[in-house]
Amino acid sequence: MSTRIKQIAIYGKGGIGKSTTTSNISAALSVAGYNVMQIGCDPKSDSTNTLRGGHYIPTVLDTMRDKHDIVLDDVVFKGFNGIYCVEAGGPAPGVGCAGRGIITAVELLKQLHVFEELKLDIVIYDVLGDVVCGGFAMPIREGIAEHVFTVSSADFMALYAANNLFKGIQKYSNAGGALLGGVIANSVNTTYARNIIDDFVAHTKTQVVEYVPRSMTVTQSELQGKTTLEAAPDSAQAAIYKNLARKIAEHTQSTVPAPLDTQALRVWAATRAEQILRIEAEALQPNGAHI
Amino acid sequence: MALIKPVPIREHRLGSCIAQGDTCGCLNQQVKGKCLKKAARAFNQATVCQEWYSMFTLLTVQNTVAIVHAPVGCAASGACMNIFNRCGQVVRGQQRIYNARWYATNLRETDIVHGGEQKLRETVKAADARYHPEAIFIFTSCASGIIGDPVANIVNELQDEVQARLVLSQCEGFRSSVWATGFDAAFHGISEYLLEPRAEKEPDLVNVISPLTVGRLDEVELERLLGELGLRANFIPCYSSIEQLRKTVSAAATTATCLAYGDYFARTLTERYGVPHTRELMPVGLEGTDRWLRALAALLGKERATEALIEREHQRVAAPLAELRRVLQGKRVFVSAGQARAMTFSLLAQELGFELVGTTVYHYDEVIAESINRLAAQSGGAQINVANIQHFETANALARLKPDLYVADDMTTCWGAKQGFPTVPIYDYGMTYLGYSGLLAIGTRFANALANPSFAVKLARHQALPYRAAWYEQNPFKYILSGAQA
Repeated sequence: MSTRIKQIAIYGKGGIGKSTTTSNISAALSVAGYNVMQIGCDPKSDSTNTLRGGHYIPTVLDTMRDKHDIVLDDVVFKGFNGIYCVEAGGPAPGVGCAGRGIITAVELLKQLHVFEELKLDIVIYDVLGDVVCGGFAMPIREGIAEHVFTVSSADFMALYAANNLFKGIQKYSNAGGALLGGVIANSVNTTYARNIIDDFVAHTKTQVVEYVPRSMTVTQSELQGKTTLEAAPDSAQAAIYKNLARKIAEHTQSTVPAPLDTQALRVWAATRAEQILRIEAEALQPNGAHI
Repeated sequence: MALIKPVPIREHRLGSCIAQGDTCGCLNQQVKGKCLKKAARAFNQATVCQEWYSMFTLLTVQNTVAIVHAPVGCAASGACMNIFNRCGQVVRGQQRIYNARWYATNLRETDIVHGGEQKLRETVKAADARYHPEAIFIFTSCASGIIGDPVANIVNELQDEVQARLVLSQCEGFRSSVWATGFDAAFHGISEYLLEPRAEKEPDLVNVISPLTVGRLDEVELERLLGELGLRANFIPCYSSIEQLRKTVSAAATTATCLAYGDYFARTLTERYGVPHTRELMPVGLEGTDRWLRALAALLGKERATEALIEREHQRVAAPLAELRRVLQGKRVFVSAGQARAMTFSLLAQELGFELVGTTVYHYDEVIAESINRLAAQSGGAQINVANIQHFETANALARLKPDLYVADDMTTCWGAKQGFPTVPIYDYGMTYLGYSGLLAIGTRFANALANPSFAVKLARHQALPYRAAWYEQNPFKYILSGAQA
């Protein structure tokens, strides 16, 4: 594989399927022969669970609190197919500063020369995507990740979070920060949901990398503590993840997105909402027509 | 115990501002016309943190421990305050001299991430077990504020586990750009956590709220004056005991040697415990001390005795004062200090016959509105700069106005001396400047500094200022934005 490490960050609103998608991408890349590390950057610390049989691993921040001299093996754990798993961790809910935690954890990984030591091909950061403060922008700052992908459904709040992420990317784009690879459209099973995401990426001058439908296979796999790639490697859903992983591996040219300002986003959302209502009204028409 | 809210910041409570550059007359017109526009700076050189002033207010209280919930550097200023603390004990005749006891909870990277609650609990318990203090003062910091450590909750919970009374001062540096809010945060802690109503009254007791920068010699002068009126002074909070702080609620009245410092606590004692307070800034100069005494007399029904005292004191200082006025007449002076000090020393300068050319006051609000009015009556053309230690403005203004004498508190004295202007600090340093005795002492210092300016002259010869020559050709208030810009 290539000598240069490819570092990508995958952002998305909490609960959108970001860790599921990221873990499946990591698994697919690993199966394809890449040496992969996945770093969970969310205080929930469950990004890598499905790569580790459903088990939590000690987090970087907990380890730093308890131990002074940290070595690589304290914070890096092997998962499915040899994937290196790291969880940045964070404070208990309601205390401390999760954003600072991400900065601290990533700094430690750099100090330990983790990426070079393990001869990695691809590092994937799985980051809570609301970018609420500077800490959550850490992976896209200072040239840590080169490419950012965002997982989003067609829900307004998910797109709002994606738009916020685009603002972060745009802000750091002139200072050696990461650029946007595109949107991974998740849970997109209907045409109008697809249309909404297509329209959003057109407005923000980016692209959809892959449409990932909602699938029971994914749920069943997760209940076993596994990725779809591990639990159902021959399923149609696994094929979609493999295709997505291939595109990400081959992706080289990211761009600066054009986020909508708050007012423009509201106007855009309102327009889309009217269209959805119209579609739904038309869909109901045949049943209601004879009443 | 109910959760204590932080003290309101001075910007909200008093409309305090920190940026103006004008003449006394124009500023006064704007204040009187209620059209003083809030200004800001496009460039700030320096300022001081609120937490510093909160610690400064409480560190010398007897038999207490201070805990700064912060990275260790935030508590470093305790070393400087401890010098005051030790010297202050010496001049108060204490046989055994104690160091101030102050701790930082030493918030480090992992504490910022996970929260510093545990360290605070451990530090408070350790301080309580080690010293058995009467009270433990806990100060918050920017770091603890940003991560949202629930310090007020922790203090309430810990109170049941320790013997010392816990007093919280919520003084995150970023809350206010007017550092005097730090004084209020400290006094807010005292009033919320220490004070309780008392049935007994002490009709001859006067609370004198006095900062660490007013020395023991000045206290002696005020004790003398109050004593002649049959009153006892309760100097708080510096070097005072917890009991002295608690009995403030029983006093007949409250006054201050610096109203900018004592404003919040004096108001609180009035509003909650019915102890009336005076609104005079400082007992500085002949008129300043007269007014300070008369305001107190009016509250306590001691007008006749006070007038007799004033007359006696005027007679006592008349001859040396006349000589001082002869020497100082027409000399040009520039004053730079905190709110109360800047105003009262500017008025003193007028009284001594100086021509006031400029005043730098660290912040402006209603506390000094009346003084500005009096200042403007005689020195309307004098420059006034409201600046929270913006040295570049002071250095520029001094270079333009070229005073014969520069009178400043310790944070800005060097700028006059380095430019060769004889400089007199107005700070404790073992000197006196309050009351009638202080008037003669400080007047003599002014005269001495003018008579022999060689220190400043030689210093200037060997000292280059840090600013480029071009800066001195520009408007010193170039970076003050007003109106829509601000």
